[in-house]
Amino acid sequence: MRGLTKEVLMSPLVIENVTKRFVQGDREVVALDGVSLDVKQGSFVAIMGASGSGKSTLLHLMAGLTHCDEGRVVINGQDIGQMNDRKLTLFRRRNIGLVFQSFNLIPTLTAEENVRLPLMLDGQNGPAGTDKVAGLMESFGLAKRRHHRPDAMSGGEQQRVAIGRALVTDPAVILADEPTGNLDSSNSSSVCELLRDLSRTHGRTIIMVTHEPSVAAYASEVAVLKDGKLIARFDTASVQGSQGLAIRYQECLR
Amino acid sequence: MDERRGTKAQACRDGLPMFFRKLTFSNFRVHRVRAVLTISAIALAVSLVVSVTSGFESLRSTAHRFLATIMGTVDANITRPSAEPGGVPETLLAQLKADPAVRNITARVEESIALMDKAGRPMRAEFHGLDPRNDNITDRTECRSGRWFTSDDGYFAVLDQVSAEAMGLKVGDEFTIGSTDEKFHLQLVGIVQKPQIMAMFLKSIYVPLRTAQRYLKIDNPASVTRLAIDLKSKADGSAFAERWREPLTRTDPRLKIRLQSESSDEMDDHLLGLQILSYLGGTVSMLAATFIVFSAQSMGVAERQRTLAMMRAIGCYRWQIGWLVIVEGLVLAGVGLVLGVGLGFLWLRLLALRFDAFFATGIQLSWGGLLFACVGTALAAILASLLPSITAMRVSPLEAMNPLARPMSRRTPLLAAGIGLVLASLDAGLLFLPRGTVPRDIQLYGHFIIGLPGIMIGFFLMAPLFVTLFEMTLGPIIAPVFGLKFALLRQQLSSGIWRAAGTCAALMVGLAILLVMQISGHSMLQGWQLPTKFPDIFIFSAGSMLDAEDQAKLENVQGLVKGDVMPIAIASTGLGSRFFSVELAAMMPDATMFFGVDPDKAFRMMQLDFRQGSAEEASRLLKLGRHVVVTQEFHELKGLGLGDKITLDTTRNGKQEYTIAGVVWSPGIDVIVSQFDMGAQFDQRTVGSLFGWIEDAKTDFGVTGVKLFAANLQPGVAKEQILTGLQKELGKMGLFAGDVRHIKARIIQTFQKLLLMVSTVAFAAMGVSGLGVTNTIMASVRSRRWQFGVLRSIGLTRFQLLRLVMAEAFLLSLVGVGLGLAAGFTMAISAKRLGANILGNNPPLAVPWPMVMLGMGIIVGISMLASLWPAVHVARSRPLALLQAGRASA
Repeated sequence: MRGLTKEVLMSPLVIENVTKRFVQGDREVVALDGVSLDVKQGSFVAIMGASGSGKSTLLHLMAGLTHCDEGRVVINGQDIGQMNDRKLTLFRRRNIGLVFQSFNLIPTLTAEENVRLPLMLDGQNGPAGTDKVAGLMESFGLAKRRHHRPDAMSGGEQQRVAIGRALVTDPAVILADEPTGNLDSSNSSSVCELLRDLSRTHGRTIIMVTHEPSVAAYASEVAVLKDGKLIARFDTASVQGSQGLAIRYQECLR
Repeated sequence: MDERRGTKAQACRDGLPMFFRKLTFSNFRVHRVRAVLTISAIALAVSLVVSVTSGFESLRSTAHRFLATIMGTVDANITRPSAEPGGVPETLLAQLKADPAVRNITARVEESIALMDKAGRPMRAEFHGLDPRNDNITDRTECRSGRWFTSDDGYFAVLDQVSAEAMGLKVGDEFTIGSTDEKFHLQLVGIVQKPQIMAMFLKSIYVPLRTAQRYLKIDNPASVTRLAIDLKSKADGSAFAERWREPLTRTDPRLKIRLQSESSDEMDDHLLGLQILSYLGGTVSMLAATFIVFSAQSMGVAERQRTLAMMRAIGCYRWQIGWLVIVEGLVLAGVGLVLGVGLGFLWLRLLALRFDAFFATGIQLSWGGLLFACVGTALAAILASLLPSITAMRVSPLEAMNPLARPMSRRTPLLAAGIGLVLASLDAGLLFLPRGTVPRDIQLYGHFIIGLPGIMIGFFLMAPLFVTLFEMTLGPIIAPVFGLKFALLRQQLSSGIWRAAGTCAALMVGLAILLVMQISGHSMLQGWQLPTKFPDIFIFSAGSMLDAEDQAKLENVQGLVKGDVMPIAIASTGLGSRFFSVELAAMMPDATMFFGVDPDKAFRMMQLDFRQGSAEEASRLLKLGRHVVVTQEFHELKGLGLGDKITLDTTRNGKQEYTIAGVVWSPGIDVIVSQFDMGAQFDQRTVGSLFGWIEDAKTDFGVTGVKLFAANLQPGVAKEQILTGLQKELGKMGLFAGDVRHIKARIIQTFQKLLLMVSTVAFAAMGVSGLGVTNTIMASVRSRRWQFGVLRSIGLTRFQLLRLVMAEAFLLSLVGVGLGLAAGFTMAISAKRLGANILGNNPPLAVPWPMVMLGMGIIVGISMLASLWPAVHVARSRPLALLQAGRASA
């Protein structure tokens, strides 16, 4: 791949000096201003920042849902900015797992069918897929809920189904946008534990956007954005729990 | 490119249909009522296509059976088309029998005559003279009572059951036929049972062949009207016909040999108008169903924006999203098709039970209709899903990242309205260009293939603009009528603009079709004004020609003005649509005729409206010979006028040039006939409306006698009484008399009945569209449950909520009415112009307002009725339930 170093090619996710501008009314807003981020295999990175700091825009860029004006986003060794819509769609299907704040499950499908959806899109309806879906449901504690539709499940269960859907294609990275935003504290904890477990035990690479220090505390490292710039990056191990993380986060924003 | 193709192929091979199947069926499971209503609309439309086309097929099969019953199942017929009875020399019988291909030949005398019913009124009947010894009708048609006569001579008769009952006769009774001076006394020896429908349309009397020849005065030399030939099983019919064409022409150039297949084809030609109508009815309903499917699909896409966005985000191609919508449409259509076919047969069964006479050969499936339903349904599904599919494909995956669903764009699609305006104007562009710019054929076919679909699609694309405008202008008026604040009603329709547009377009179809049918029909009738001065009655001989002696007798009949009896020689009596054709056409004289008259008498008795020339000059010129007076329609159609020459194919002297001696505004009967028989035959029919000199009719067309007379009644207050007396008097002479104004009134009445009958197509479409209204209101209610919950929580009463939903349906119906009126009038104006360009008929536009109001009322009524259930349902819901349901779907 032209212009990509060996390190970049080896990393599941590399963001190099990306800038993203929006036009709001008659003025231009710089949502991201030269942000660079390198995520190692098996990392669980929480991106934090105040409203309007650019964290969601960064996630959208990483997901290939929008293109940056400058810089590049490289996932699994491929510059997604160079891809057309068709290639990007296929790449997203196979390399990126998305977890949404509002779950975004298809209300008319059962939990199992929702998990299976990316495989169905890929035309994979064989027994391998079935086993994989069953395994995921089992490991997420959803075995008894597999035939239920989303409206019959709790928020936590729905989000676990959504995480299962994100994992079913074995993506290079999992991108989670405020995954606990619509959950109560109990469900929030269980989802965060699940994500941490996926990273620690299964070596999944996870990038999570959140503004909650208590949620970010489950990650292995934190990246803080302010006014479109990456202003800090630290290991969660270096701070004392969620309270310590909150204090550190506030210090960064000052 | 290869990678792309490979990926798609791989996906499909590996079971991608599962993805479509899962999503499609699960979606229908969740939106059961919507799916059921949409499927019902399709099923109803399909059932109309199946029942109407198969109904027609059953009718045609019945007609063919009757044709076989009347004509016999012979292979060929020899006739001599002429106004005079007979003409086929019996000497041919022996010559034809010598042909090795011939198995059997039957000689028949067939003519229309007058029989007197028990009240002394004349009734028309088909008179058959036959030889029972070699005519297999006696085997095919058994006597209900009595028996067939056994010889070819003798004063015996067999009647069908309807005639016998009308005449009050039973086997053994004696009765008379014929004129005052020459009566035939016959003994009724048998009564045959004909299928009721056939007997109703066609009363029959059968007499021995020689008796018939004597009665019709065609016994010296003996001739018959038809030789029916049965060929041997392996004989080649075409070769036989070819072999005999030349010898027959040598005997008499007017002798024609026709194979049975040609007769069947001719009957099919006569039924073509009905067949087209049957398909048209289905098309209109299908169009309404298309808009309903569109509306349902638009709702589905609008409601699932976030789901579709998520699917794009997790790796669904645009084409997969697009296909998903199309597949949903096709599944709905497929289920609707299957149910519709079943429903169609149910309608047919009910029809067959109610009108068994029309289904004498049982229910016949129309394969063409079935194919039309299948292709039409698939096309409807694809077309209706196209725009929603494109909308779905354009959903951005970023939408999935928003915590709350983004409200639908409320911008009025002005581009669509602009395209719609262009499409709706195509027909006008085609028809309103200066004469000669666009050939007539292109105008005719272009109108049906491009113009009409353009108007329908054009107004559909303009529907969103109508929705916005009506909401803005009528909303503030409607809201207080329903006891509501306008703020509550504002933007309710435009918030789901394509959903509302689809439903309004479905409502539009029925009203627009009703309007164009009714306005065109009434305009045609209004343009058909009889001249101020016109003969009081027409007298018609349903039997032999009246010679000079008979005509002199007619002059002396009590009640007629002496000197005001005008013979009209008809040059050709080619059969028009007799029965099973459009009823109106059956009543009309065949317009492919040359009317030979005495010019002085004609223009004295008829004050025709001369558009070119004058009565005096025309009279002078006609008497010079080979001059004709043509109709204004002919003039407009052909561009030929006073002094121009036209070539007529005469029966005696071949092609002859006739000069136009005048152009008159025709009463329009021929135009009405032509309406149901448009196309290739039209030119001939218009040319048929020629008035010429009676002497030309004799010399060029070989007319020797007269069957039709125009006459005036003696002045008197009791005109009806005079006419009744006269009818009885003339009936004794085998003549019918009809008051021109009565005839006109009857024609108008029949035409209006026919108009109402064809308007059922429009009413059916309106019924179909009602399902769309329910769908739209339900979707609208569903998308606003949160809002309704809030309103109920802060004090809106159940009844107010009910009125709010009903007001929305009312507004929706008004948009449908507005669109229907606009599209209907556009089509009516186009139809009028087409009539002027193609038929040369350009009467002023007549709008039957009561019928228009009825159509509007039906649209409003259907909409209100259709909204009742969703309105009541939401009004009965508890505020908390509404809030919870609304939040869940946010």
